[in-house]
Amino acid sequence: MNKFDIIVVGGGHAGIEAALMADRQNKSVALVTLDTRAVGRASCNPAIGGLAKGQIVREIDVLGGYMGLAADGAGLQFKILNRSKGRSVWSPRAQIDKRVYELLIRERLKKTNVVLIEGEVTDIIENAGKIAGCIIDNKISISAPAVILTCGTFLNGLIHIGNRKIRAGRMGESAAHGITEALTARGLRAGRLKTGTPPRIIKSSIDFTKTVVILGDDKPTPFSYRTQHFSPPNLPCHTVRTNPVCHDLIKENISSAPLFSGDINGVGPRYCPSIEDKIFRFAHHDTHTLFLEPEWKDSEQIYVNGFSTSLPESVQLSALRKVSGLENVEFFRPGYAIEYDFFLPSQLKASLESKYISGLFLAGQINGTSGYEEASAQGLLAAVNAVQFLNDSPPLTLGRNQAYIGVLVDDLITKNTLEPYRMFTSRAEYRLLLRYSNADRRLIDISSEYNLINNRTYEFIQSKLKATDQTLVALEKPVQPAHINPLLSSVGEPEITEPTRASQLIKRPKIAISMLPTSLFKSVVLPDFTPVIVDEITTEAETMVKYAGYISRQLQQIEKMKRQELHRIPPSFDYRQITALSNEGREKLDLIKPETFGQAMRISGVSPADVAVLSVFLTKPF
Amino acid sequence: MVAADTIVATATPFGVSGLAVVRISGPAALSILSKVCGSKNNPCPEIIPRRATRVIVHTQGTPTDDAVATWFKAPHSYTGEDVVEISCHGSIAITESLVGEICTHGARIAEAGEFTRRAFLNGKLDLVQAESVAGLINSQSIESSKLNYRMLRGALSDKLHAIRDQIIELLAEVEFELDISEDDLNPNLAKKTSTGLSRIAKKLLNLIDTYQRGRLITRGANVVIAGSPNVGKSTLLNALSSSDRALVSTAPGTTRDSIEVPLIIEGVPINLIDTAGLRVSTENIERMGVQRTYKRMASADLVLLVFEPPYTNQNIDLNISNNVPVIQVLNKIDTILHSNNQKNSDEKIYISAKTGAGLVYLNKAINRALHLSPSISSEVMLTTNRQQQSLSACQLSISQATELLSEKEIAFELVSIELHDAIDSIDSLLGKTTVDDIINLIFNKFCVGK
Repeated sequence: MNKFDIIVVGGGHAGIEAALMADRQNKSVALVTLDTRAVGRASCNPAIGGLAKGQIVREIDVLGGYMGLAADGAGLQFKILNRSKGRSVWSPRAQIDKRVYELLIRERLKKTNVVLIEGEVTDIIENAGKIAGCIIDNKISISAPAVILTCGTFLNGLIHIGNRKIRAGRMGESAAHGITEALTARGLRAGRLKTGTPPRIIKSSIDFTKTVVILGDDKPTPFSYRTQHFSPPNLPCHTVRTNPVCHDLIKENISSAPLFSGDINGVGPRYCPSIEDKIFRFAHHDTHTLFLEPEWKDSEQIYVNGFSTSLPESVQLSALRKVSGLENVEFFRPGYAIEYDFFLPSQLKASLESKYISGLFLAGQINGTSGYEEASAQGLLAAVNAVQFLNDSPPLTLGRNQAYIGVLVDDLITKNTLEPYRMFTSRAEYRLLLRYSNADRRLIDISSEYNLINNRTYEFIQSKLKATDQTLVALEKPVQPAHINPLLSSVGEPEITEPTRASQLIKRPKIAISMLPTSLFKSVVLPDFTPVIVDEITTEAETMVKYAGYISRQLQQIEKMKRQELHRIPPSFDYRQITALSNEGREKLDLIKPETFGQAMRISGVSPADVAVLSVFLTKPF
Repeated sequence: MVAADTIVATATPFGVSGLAVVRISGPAALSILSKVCGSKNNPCPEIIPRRATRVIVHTQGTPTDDAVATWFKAPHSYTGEDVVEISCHGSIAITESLVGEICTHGARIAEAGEFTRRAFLNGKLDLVQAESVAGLINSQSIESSKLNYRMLRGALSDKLHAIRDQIIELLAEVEFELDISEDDLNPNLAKKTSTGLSRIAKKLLNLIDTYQRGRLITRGANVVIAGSPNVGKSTLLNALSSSDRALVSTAPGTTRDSIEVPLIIEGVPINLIDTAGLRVSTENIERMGVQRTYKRMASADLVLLVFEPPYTNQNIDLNISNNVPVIQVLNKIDTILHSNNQKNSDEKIYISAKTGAGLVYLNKAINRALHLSPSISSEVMLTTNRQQQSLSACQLSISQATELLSEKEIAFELVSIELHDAIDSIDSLLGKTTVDDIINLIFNKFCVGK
């Protein structure tokens, strides 16, 4: 009973994807968590997806993960963000019911053979650089040849509210102790990060007449290709705005914020700063938007997105009460900052396995990331690779041109993040290729090769891709002037004088597939697709045609980079012997120990000249 | 082997030499050779691997040099790719224009060590070779740092950094809009970005324009002395260069070939070129000399047109383009009486090459005509073809971004691609920018996140 194939430590977003995927691959799995009732809990905001993150959820879905399905089942409103901007940055996002989300995940787990164990992992068992299991609560040992650590913010977690300090992993849940010490004792380097969460307020204390209503799309788009019956509600969120009076109050009390008093040592994220941070760093902004988001359907508990803070509770409350609409606001609980341990991710291989302890995988916030989606993606990848490891097969690594998940992992292991890492579309140099609407095309073959999805989903995706291809073929057919000129002139586009290929017309910015004669598309097979899927096929075909020039430019760049990516550097390579390298380049290469030539080229501080020198030395026999 | 792009560089050391070798490597090497070494009526001869073949190098369709080309067929070449080596005459003008011509047919200029990197990636180098090449790479970088050190360390580098910072600044705004702001598109973004880009474009164009002058300063300006036979052209060359290099005699038509003397006038390097006298000659050799003179004049940076008293036939057809400045040098004033009409201007200088009278004025006029003065060298200028190519590529990206911004529905992620390319072009001269540089700016500039 105490022997497993894989032990997953932690039951958050990363741990769940890891456990589910390992189970799917017929491995015996133990999921160890401090509180089995908290499995699948969304710690922070009640939303899944968003800019760049929505693309990641789609990728997780095609790779057989559960996040998209759960979000579709728990969604309260769905929206494709950035519609007014370019197609490659369109990103799905959903407000979710956190309770339903948690419930769906626990039900899903129940249908598997995953063994839930409640307890605290206090040490790991390791023999000669190989993981062998864990010790729970200082007494019980369970063994497994592969362990995935997904400890989130729980490692030596310390909550700050003003000068109050609480040892906890999440408000009301105890922190985890032992793992940091177990790993650092074995030579791994840890660091400390900080993140925060805003207060939760009572709905009936808000004056909604003074707020602005925000709704989702009329025609919602699901995340998952597996979601069958999709008719989510479209519940409103609301916004209010801070003002100079509110800001002044925070400024007067700034000395009581641990961020400013020096009590917090961990490095916080710059992209999701606390309200006190915003007011000081962006002093010229006299107002910031706050989003009031329900934590679940008919929730009395409202999440104040944009007001993350570690100020004393009384200051938080009086500052919020200066905001129009929140004059009489009451708290369920205050916002807080939390400090926690993470491990420098450059100590990992691209498979997320430790370079130093074989069979040990790390995923999620323990690697310095932030965000549910980033965590889930890593959990999924770690599980696939733990299974590959057990089967003695080569690991799955995704390229930067294949998936945001590829960008995520490569950035982590190459850049050694020093602040919580969040995905942005601008982190992807091939952004144009990484659309939410082509996640299926990008990843379906990998998914199938590694047996990550069921046949039905595979067939469905194949038929969708086929329909897209047929649409593209149809667009190569000529359109007669008489059939299109009235429409062209009605939108102010020059008319055509001779039959013109439909794709040429689509390249004009104002022309969409929906404007073309439907007779063109007679040969496109759309077997009982929902209108949303049909829309997606059209959008995708349109995008491929409209962006063809730029897409092929990016493909050419990828071809150029490919050889560098294929060229591996032996892990034992000694950079210190090469005096021709610049000092900074040598130091960085020695620290990060890139796995491929391509990764070496991306390390900041490694100059093009260093790369040239390296290329020459890499012919030495080892 | 994955197809890479095709690269080109001068393989022999920078400078004037008898011969120079221009090396092209990559899948398009051979097809580029046939384009560069042939025209419609005069196609490139068949090239057989490992056999030296005589070819005529064409620049913009006109023959410019006799050369020898050798094709090393993949994988039997230095880099393991198709390599073509062209041995041409070793003047900087020839090699630079040849490399430029090759680039217009789809190659790009190789980065330092790139041939070696390709050789390595294709398994062409073993340990011993690799170590010897490592030395070569070092010497190359010393060579190139010698070449660019002053400029890249100094004013040019500062200017490029400033331009790059401005592009990054605009890019950060675009990225913020795409990546972080969940609001509707900022209506002012397009206009703001366009305005910024047109400012950058202007600076780039100014810099690119300096290439011509920069070349004059580093390579020397070609100043051609021309005129009818026996008006004292060679004497003038000797006077200006204070040597007896040119053969001087009173028999008209003594200088049958061009004679070139490098010298410094007013602190600026100049190649002073003495040519055969312009006249209709029955003698075959002399006629060829005259033809060569016309050719020299056409490619000159300045022509000194020499006359002797009574300075009458000043209207001879020079057959040179309007772009080439001309100074009329009215020689042999020692042989005539001084008259009030002998007033110097920028276009007309009275001298005596024999006595040296008026040479001071001539020196100054030459300098002014070339728009050069010693103090200009402290100004920022592009001095190499590589700089000029990189900045032209940058300029192209900027103008494409501007065009995208003029459309009604703007695809900002495409604008972003162009701006990234523009930065890459500058970075190929300066070093590299990482995505983090842009993201850092976003963080510092905008309040990010709810």
